[in-house]
Amino acid sequence: MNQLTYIPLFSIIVIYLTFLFLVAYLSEKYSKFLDSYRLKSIVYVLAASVYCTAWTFYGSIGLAANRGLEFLTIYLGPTLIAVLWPLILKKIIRISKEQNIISISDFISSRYGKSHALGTLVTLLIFFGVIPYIALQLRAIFLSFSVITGKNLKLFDLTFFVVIALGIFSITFGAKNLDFTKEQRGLLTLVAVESMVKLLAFIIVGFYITFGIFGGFGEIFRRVYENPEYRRLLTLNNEFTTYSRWFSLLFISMMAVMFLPRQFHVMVVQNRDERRVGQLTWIFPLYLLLINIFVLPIAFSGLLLNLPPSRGDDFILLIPMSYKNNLALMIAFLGGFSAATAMVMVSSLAVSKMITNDIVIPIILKMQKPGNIYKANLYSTRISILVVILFGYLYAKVLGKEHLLVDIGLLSFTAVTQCAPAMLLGIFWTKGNKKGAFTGISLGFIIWFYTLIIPALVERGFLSSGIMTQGLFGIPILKPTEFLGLRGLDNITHTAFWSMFFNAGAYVLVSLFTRQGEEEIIQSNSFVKVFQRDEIETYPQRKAILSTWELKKLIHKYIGDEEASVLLKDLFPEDKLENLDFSIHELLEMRIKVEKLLAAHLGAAAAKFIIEDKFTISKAEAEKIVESFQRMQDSLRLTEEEMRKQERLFASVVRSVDDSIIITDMFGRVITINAAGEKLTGYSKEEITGRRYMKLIDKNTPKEIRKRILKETQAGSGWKGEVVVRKKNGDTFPAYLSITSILNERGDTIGIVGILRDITDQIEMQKRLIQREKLASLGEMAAGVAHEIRNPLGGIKMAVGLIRRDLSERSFTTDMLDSILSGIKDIENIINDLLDFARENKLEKEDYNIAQIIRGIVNSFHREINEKGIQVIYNRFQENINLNVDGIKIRQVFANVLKNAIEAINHREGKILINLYSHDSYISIEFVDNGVGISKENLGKMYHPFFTTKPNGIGLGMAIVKKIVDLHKGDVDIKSMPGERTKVSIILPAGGASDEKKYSNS
Amino acid sequence: MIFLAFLSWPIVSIFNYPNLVFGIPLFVLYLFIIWLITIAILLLINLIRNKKEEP
Repeated sequence: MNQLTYIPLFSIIVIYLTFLFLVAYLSEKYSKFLDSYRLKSIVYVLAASVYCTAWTFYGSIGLAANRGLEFLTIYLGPTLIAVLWPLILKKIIRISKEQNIISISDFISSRYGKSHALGTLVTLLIFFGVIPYIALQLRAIFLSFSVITGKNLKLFDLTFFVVIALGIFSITFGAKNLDFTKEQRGLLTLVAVESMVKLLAFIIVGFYITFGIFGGFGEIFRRVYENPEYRRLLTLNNEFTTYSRWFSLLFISMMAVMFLPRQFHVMVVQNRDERRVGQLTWIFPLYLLLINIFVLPIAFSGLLLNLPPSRGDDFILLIPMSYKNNLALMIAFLGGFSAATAMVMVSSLAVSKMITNDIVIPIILKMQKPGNIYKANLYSTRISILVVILFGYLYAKVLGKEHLLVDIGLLSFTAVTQCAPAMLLGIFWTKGNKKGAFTGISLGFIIWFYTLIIPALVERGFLSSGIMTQGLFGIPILKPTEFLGLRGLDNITHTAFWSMFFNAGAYVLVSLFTRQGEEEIIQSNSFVKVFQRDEIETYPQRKAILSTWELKKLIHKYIGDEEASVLLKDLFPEDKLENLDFSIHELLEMRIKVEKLLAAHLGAAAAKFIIEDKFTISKAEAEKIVESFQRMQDSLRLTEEEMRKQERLFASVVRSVDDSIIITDMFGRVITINAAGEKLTGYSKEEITGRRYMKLIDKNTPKEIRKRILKETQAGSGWKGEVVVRKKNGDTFPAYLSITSILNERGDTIGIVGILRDITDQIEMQKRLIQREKLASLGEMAAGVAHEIRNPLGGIKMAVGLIRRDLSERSFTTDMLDSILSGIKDIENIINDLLDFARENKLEKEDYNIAQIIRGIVNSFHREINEKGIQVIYNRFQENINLNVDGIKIRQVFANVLKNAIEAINHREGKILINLYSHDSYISIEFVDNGVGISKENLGKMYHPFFTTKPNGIGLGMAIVKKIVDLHKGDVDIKSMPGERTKVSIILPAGGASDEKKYSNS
Repeated sequence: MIFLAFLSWPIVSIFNYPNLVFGIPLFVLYLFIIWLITIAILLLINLIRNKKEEP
């Protein structure tokens, strides 16, 4: 073995602790630069990995080397419960934020009417449960020192220095601010960095052992399989792990991952955003999986290298030492050191706060002259941290080396599992009450102590073995390991079963048969219905009122002068800070705020105690309060009436607005929508209430815009712009959205108001305008070109005509000249079309008989109609319709439409139906043909200039039609079923015709 | 409940043999596969939830 001396080890520890100090210090100092959501989420998830301690780093290997696969339950359990975190953990977090909860004892105490007794009971349970766990970490550090230096360490040695350093770290970065609801950025970052260090260290050393010393997983597992003694470690073996033990370990680790004080502190108290639970649910199990990949290979490698299984906890150090690899040894040491120190810091901090708030402060408050509570709170928290760590240190020192780390850890897991019934049933069942919780936890605690701790004390010789062999008072069914005659279970399963049986059973039964107090009813509703705020009675009428000076005195006294000044400015409006002119209901509201503020420092029970009980009043004062209550009632009645009036006014304004108005809460969930909004989105108010407003924004809205909306609203700055909205039926439409954040007096966003306007017509109008502009510029260009071509073309035509006239006999030359003349005629037609299209938008209107114009146009096409054998039917044809129109232009409209209809027919049964009729104030002229029809794709392009599907057309016919009809303030509509028929409708306004002047057909 | 069932006695017992599959003990392989599937499904649920809640 290659052992190190004190000096290099000491140097490495000092360097590493300095590095951690800098990480924590700099992350606090430069927190503004590390403010990204993603970074904070990563820190949160990694900090939650404080679950993996020295037990994982050393203990799992020891367990795997002795009992095979049992160690996996400790990580599979949390993975299983992670599935339910969006349901359970999210609710616990929401409750904790609403109630300013700072520890697990505070949570249970708060739920059951802010009970002091319950808080103290849970604190004692957690204290006794967690001390062995902290001892486990410190013992792991001692053992690693011993292994590396090869010396047995004494009471005050290098480890004592480490313990003191950990205490200072916890105080500096954890207990600096007594309000635990505030973010402890330095501590969290430090723990997150340590989580990364331990994971990387484990993987690097595991990789080195598996692939550097052995030939990979395959070789290690094959050699273990070939050894009959070790092969049994590859399965669940009744000799080590029964199925019942497997199941009970799964269960207690599911509970421990949520209710261990350090887990509760990091995952609940330090959670700043509920959405992080979503990331935690999969990243945390992934972390557990990664850190466990090399556990079996390292454990089996140690066995294959003939290291004793009893030293399994040290295999990760012993193997690199055997191969004289100091680098791997140091990496392994630092990994284990990180795992242990992170746990000790967070656990000591969480437990110290519980001790202070649930044991020390209540005792001080009950003294006649409590003195400076703030200082007492501060010093108590700091001293408690040191006390907790030192207790763990002494426990670790007296522990024998023969104990596996895992056996110590399971004591703690089973202890904190006793909180599960009161916690889990308490957040889903309003009937669960204080008496039930107290009885349940007490019984669970007693059973845990009797069936798990007593045997351990007997084993260590602190108690006689009589209790084990004969039972308490000689009663056989009271044997600690065979309680009530239950045999055949291992110690953990035995304790887990009986403690849960009595704990949960007593909780339910006592709750069913006893009543809740008034405070309990309020609190149970607040907890169970935390997601249904409306149902919570948050302002119980029975609460007394403190005067402003009393409130200010309270704040200064209990949370310190410096922080109190900041909070007072926040709590009391600027103009009222000095003159103290408050109404009764303002005072009542402030009293509740102050109670919550105190709860964040001292816990809910102590805060309630201070507010209600420490301010005893004289008879005169009591009369004043009664009077105040009466005034308050009157005032409230008046205020209520005013509020209703305001509400009615507001509701009528919202109703009368044509735009859609949507109001959401701070999380973007819709609270209400007005009638216009219901009509526009297709959702009824009931359907959309509770949904996120972002659901209305369709995915066709650019992602950048959607992100921007969320970002701006979260920042409270609002947003305006165009989006695509998705209706209930899936249809989408463009809309203009204006979002404004609703801010409270502190400037925090408490909701959002969104105004939504359908801009489909507006966009359509814009498109048309653009199209018109395009057409106008095209027209100008076309007119210029046509004009330039027309004159030389006239010359060419005349010259060719003259040559043709001189050649009387038909020859090749005459044929060519005829073809040139025909071509010139075609060009002239095109030029005429272009000039028509570009002609000035001026109408020379007169009254015309439309029927006569149409008949005239049809006659002018008689040659083409007859050639194709088309039947023209005047179907619904009112002969006496007169209109004031530009006759030449309207004639061109009908001619273009009829020409298209004729050209579309390419079979011998062609029909063209012509309708002419008036309706309302419009005249409709319809041309229906049974030609080839127009595809849906081409239908939208029909009015585009130069769009054509015909081989010889230039695509101006329908563009001219549209232009002329638009000039007459009419409209053109084309409907077509390809292969069947096409209907072109020209709609013209009926007004403007005079009876005197009738146009006769030319 | 489904994942819990996969890690409970009746199903676990089916795979509780020391045989090697691809050089890995069958039971170890089974547990890690269940573990990975659970993580993959949790990731998928998280992605779907994020997509529903955010752009």
